[in-house]
Amino acid sequence: MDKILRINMGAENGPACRTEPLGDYAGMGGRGLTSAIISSEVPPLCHPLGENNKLVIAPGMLSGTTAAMSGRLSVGCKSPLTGGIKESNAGGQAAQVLARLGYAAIVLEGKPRDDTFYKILITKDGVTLEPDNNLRMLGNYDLVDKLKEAYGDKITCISIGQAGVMKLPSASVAITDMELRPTRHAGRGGVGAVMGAKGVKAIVLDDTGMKMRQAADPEAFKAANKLFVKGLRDHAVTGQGLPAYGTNVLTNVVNEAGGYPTHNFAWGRFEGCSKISGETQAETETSRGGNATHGCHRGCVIRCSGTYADKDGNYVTKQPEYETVWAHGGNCGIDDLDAIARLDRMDDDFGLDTIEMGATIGVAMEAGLAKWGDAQAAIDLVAEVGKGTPLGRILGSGAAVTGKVFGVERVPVVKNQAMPAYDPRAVQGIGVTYATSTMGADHTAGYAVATNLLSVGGTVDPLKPAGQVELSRNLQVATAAIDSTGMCLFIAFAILDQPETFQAMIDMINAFHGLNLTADDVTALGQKVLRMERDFNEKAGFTNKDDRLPEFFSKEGFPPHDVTFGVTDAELDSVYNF
Amino acid sequence: MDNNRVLNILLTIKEARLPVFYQLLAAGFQVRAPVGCGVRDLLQQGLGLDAAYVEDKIQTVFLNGRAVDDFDRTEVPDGAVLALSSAMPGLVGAVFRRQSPLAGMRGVSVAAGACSSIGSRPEGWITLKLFNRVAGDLGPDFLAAGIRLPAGRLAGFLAAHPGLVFETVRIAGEVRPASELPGVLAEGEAGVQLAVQPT
Repeated sequence: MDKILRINMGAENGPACRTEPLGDYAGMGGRGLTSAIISSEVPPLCHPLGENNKLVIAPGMLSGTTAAMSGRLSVGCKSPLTGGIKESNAGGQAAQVLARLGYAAIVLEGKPRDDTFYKILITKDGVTLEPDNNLRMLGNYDLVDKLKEAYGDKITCISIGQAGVMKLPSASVAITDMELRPTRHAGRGGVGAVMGAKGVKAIVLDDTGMKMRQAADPEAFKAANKLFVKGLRDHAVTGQGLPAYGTNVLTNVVNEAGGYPTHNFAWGRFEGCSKISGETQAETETSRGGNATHGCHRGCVIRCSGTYADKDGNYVTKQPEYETVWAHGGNCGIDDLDAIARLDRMDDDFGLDTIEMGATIGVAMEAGLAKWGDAQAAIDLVAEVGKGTPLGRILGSGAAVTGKVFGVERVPVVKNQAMPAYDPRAVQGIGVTYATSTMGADHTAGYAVATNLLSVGGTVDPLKPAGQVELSRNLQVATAAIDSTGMCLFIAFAILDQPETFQAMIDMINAFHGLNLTADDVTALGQKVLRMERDFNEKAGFTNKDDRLPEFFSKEGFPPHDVTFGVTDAELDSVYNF
Repeated sequence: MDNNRVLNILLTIKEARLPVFYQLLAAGFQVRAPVGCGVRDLLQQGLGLDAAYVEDKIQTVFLNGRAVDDFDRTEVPDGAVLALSSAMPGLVGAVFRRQSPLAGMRGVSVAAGACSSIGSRPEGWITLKLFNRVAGDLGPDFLAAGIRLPAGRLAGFLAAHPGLVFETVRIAGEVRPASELPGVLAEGEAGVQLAVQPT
C-alpha cells in the first residue's frame, strides 16, 4: 500500500491514469489521507462539481491486513452539500481489497469532456477504464448484477446510483459487502455527486492473486491483534449488545431519555418506538429466517449488522441502522419496520444518504407534502428522487434546500447537513459537536473514544457547562485519529473502558508499520487532521457564524424535559482552542 | 389503566417465540413494589434481582426519563417509570451510562439525595421498562410471573402479530380459544394481568 492511483477524467485524449509514490503523504491513511490531499490540492473556493475538486478514496492504515475491524473506507472531497471539506466513511469489502491491491488511495481528478460514464477495473495487472453509458441510470443493485455478469463474483464494487449520476447533494458512494450487495455507503455530504461529476459510475476491484499485507513485526502484530479481539469480545457493548441487536438497540434508550427527535425535531419521544426498536427488529429478522448478527466485511468481530427479509422470507435489505430507522421512522412518525426497510433499500439502490433523506422527508412532512406517519407517502417521495423529477431533485438536494423551497422554519441542519438521531437539547454535548464539526452535523465526528485515556485538553469536570465543550473537543480529536486508522468507530466502546484494548490497538499499528506511536502521538494525529480540515473550511469562507445550531434549538423547549440548547456562542468558539 | 378492573390472562407458547413479547416489556408494564426507597433497594429487595446482576449488567437506567448515576441515593417514588438497559453503544449510549465520564454532555439528569430504607416504605405501583439484554435476561421470569398492562395495548400487540400460535389460552382461569382474545380485550380501559409461559 505504497502508491496512489490518480485518474484524470478530463485528460485531453480521454481519462488518463498514473500511479505515483506516496511522497509527502507517507504514513497516512483513511481520513488523515483524504483530508491531507483535499486540503493541499483542492482550491477551497472551487466548485464542488467542477474540475478542481477531487474525490479521494482511501483505505485505512491497517486495511488489507488481518487486523480486526480494519475495513473502513474513507471517501473525501469538497462537499457539494456543505461547501466544506468532507470525509465520509463506510464498511464493506473495498478497503481491504484496495489495500491488498497496494493502493493507499485512488484520486479522481479533472472534469470529463462529455457526459460519458466510465467503469474502472483495478486488478493486480493494472487499471482499465471503459466507457459504458448503458450502466448510467441503473440503481446500485442492478448495476452490481451487471458488473458480476461481466467480471465474476470475486469482485468488490464502489459505485453510485441514480442520485450520484444526477449529482444530487444527498448522493452516496456505495460499497459492496461480503455478499456482493451494495449495502454499505459513504453517505454523508454528497460524495456520490462528486463521483458522478467525475463521470465514474463504478470502480470494480479484484484482488485475485494478491496476499494479505505483511506486518513489519508479524509476531508482535499477531499478539496485539489477539488481545484486541479479546477485548472486543469481552466487552458488553461490542461483544453482546451490538451483535445481538445492531445499532438500532439505541432506539428504546434514546427515546426513554427524551432525546429521540420525533416529527422533525418537535419532541423527544415517539409513541411507536417499541415497534421499530432494535430488539423488535432483531426478533423480526430472526423469525423470518433472516439474520440479526452479521459483519459488513471480512475481519469484523463485532458483527452489528444483519439481514432484513420480508414476510415471505425474501431479502429486502441489510439490517437498517439506528440512524436510518430513526430518520425514516420516528422522525417521520412511521412505526412500520417493513416500510422503513423498503426505504433503506431504495436509498441504497438510488445511492442516497439515509440520514439526509429521512430528515428531508421530515421537513417535507412539516411542509405538508405528506402526513406524519404515512409510510406510503414517504416511499413515494423517495421514489421521486430516484426518478429525478423536479420534486425529487429538490428532495435529493437535502433538508436545507427542501426547507427553503417549501418555507419551513424548523430545519435541523448545520452547514447544510442534516442532523442525525440525537436531539442536541437532550444531549447538549453532541450539540457542540454538531455545531463545530468540520463536517457539518455529524454524530460520528466526536465519538466516545477514550477521553480519559487520551487526556486531550486536560481533565474535564462533567458538572460544568464548559465541560461539554471540552468533551466535544476531545472526542473530535480522538475520532479524527481513529478515522485515519481505518478502524471501525465501534471499537470505541471497548477502548473507552479497557485500557489494555486501547494499548493493543496502538501496538497493532506499531507492529505493522514498525513505529513507536504513543497515545500522545495518536492525539497529535487527530489534532493535525482537524487543523487541516478547519483551515480548508476557513479558506472556503466558513466563519464562526457557521458553527451554530439553528435558532429553534435555543428557543423551542424540547418535550418531555422542556430543555433548550444552552451552550453559549463564546463556548462554541472555544472548541478549536488547541 | 383501571387497576381495579383486572383480567387475568395466561398464554403458553413455544419457547422460541417468547422474545416476541419483549416488545411489551420495552413499552412498559406495571408492577407492585416498595416505593420511596433507592433504585438498588427496589431492584434487589423489592423485585428480587441478583445484586451482581444489578451492579454489572444494568448499566443504563432512566427514572422518569432522566439518567440515573447513583443507585443508592436516587429515590423511586410511587407512580415512577423506571427503565433498565445494559451498556449502550454510540456516543449517546456512553453519555447515558451510569457514572459515565461523559455525563456532562447530557441535557438533564437525575439529582441524587438521601433515600429511606426499603423496610420503612409502603408499596405502590411503578412502571417498569426492560430493554435489550436486560429484557432477554429478566423477561422470561417477569412474563412467567405476570405483567400488568392496559388491555388495549395487548390487543394492539396481538393484532400486529397475527401469526402467533398459542398452545393454551386461559382467560380468568378458564381455557378458551385464542380467537376470543380480541373480543375480551376490546374494553381498552381495563387492565390485564398477563402471564406468558413457555411450553
